[in-house]
Amino acid sequence: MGLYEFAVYDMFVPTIAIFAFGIVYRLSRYVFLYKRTAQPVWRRTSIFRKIYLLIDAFLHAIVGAIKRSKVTFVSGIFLLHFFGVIPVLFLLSHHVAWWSYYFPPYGILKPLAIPTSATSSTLTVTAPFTPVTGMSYSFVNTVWGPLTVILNGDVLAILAIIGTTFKLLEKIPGKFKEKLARVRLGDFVALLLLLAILISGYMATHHLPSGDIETYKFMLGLHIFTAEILVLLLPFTKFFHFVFSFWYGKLHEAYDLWRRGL
Amino acid sequence: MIEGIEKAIDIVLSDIDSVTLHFLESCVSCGICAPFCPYTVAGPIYEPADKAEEMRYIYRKRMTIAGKVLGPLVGAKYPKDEEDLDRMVNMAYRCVNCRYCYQTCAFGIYSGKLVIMLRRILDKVGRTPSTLKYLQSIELSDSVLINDRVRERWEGILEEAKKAIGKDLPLDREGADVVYLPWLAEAMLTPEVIVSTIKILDMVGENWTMPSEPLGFEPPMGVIVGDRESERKVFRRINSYMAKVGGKRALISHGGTPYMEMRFEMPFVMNERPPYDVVHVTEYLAELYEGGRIKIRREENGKVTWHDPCKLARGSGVVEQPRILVKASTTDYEDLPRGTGMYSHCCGGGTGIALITCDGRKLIEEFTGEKIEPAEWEKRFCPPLEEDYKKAIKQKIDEISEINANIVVTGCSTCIYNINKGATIYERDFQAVHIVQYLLDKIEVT
Repeated sequence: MGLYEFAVYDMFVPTIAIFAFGIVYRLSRYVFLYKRTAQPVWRRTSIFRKIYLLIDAFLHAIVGAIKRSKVTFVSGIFLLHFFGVIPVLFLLSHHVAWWSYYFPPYGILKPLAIPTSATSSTLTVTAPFTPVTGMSYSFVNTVWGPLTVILNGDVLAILAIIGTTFKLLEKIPGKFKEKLARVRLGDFVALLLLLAILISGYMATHHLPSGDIETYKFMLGLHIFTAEILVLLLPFTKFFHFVFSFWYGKLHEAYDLWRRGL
Repeated sequence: MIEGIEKAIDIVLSDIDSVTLHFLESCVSCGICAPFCPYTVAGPIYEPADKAEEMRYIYRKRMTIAGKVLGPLVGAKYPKDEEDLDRMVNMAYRCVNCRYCYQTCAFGIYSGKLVIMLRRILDKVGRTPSTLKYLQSIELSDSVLINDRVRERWEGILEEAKKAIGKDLPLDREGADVVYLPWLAEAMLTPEVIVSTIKILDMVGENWTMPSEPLGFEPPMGVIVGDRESERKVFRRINSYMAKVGGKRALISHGGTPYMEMRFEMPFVMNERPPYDVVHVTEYLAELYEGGRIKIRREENGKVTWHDPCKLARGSGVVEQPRILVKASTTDYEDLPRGTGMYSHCCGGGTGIALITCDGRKLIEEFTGEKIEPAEWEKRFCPPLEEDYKKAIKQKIDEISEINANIVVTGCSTCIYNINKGATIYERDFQAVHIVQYLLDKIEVT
């Protein structure tokens, strides 16, 4: 049995089971540690102000990063998240098909799917393939129109790889030269794992390093396997922010701002 | 293992709730908070997430399975020697708890709260700076007027206020609507603020009273040193005084720790909402102004700006009121350029930092007439802190200089001390004053 079969047929259920257990475990800690206490008198603010503060709570760290941590904004927020992982994970056509297979309602997003390339729906960039059309290239027709030039798997994956690599390299002097306590061993593990997923996904899409079926299956298997490792580690690592910590933290912050009447 | 450390850790971690759990577990080390902390200038190891990591080491070791099994490999460890304690103290006392890290964190993590947890652990193993322990002991005494010298200073302020209003002060009077609560820290740092507030209360004909002696130094000192029980003791004293005089509103002129703690944190600490309102003098004056009970004379007296004290603005939402008042008083007002309100930059010396510097120690010794002996470890700790404190306050000083302000109006005695201290150190010619002092001769009662 190859890595592909193992990842697709053997690992899937245990991955979901460990993920589910981890999420329940983590959330239950929040539930059990909840303490009801007396509240201060809330300041009165209008509903419009509350809506503004709710939106602001989600945005002000990004605005702060644009103003004061431009490198973090470009690499961490812009490349890695906004133009990298988020659209690739949720809207790349292959991934939309995968999500829809396991969760059919997800298929509603199919019209928004991002192609792997701006110029062809088949192998591109490094693939030895020239589309046969009246023009030398025919652009892929998606709902994103001209934005497809950016919103395609090739460009987004490369941006994500650049962002992830930069974050990884940035942490090395932080950990070993400046000896920053906040740079943890787990950060390197998480970023290396992410990089492995991105690179293996990119290579599998382009049938690299060679076009034979066994290599392709191995690379795709590696992509799925590393993604499963991420999913099963997600509740126990910093990736948890994606499903809970970010949302909880920002909603709590907005609640605190409402209370204090800011 | 350090004596008593495990017990201290158990006590502090037993207070964790789900929000604190989020603060402990959710940092992804992005570093977005770093440029906003006043102490990052002291070095990257003092970035908010780095300081909070000291508490996370302990939390992981005590409360996570991975931490118990894998230890330092997953950043889980207890402090084990003097060197670790020295490092923890350095981290814990390079934080002014200004909440800017909370406001700018991508995940809504309040690193300052974890630093206070660190202070609580340190306090239980005897690593609180001696000046703060001394001030806490003053606050926990039956009377904060601990000796003749302090009593004389306090009575001198009351005498001056009495002369200013031309009649006896209504001390400890029952049935007043407003109970003015000045603190001993104000008597030491900004005695003129107490006199000015009293004069304004008298001018507007308020039905008011005040305690014949302060109910605390800068209550609750327990939150500054990290002693929850002493916080409760002082809050109980304040609540019982308010109950005795039957006051409906507690009026506070110190917009630092005392206002925010009484207004927003006391209900959590005591698990009961006090049966009276807590009002900062800025809110009170804005209420009078907007209600037409006072007018403010507009004058030309150079460029005026308002510095938002972190605990008054970011911590308590008092942002608009002072601007209404100050703008009404001058023809030349300008906001500070690097951020206002929620995004104000801290003065750099709050939550006890200014008081543990060498000058802070001298100030307290001069005020009380008592010598405070530093512990041996403090001799290693204080000189670098002194330098870092100067770097931290310089950022505020430079910000004020950017707009060439002549007068910096604010609402917190600690901010006034730090800004004026910075202006002296860096030879700038502006002055920080409290809003009641600034408005006193501009107010006309209608």
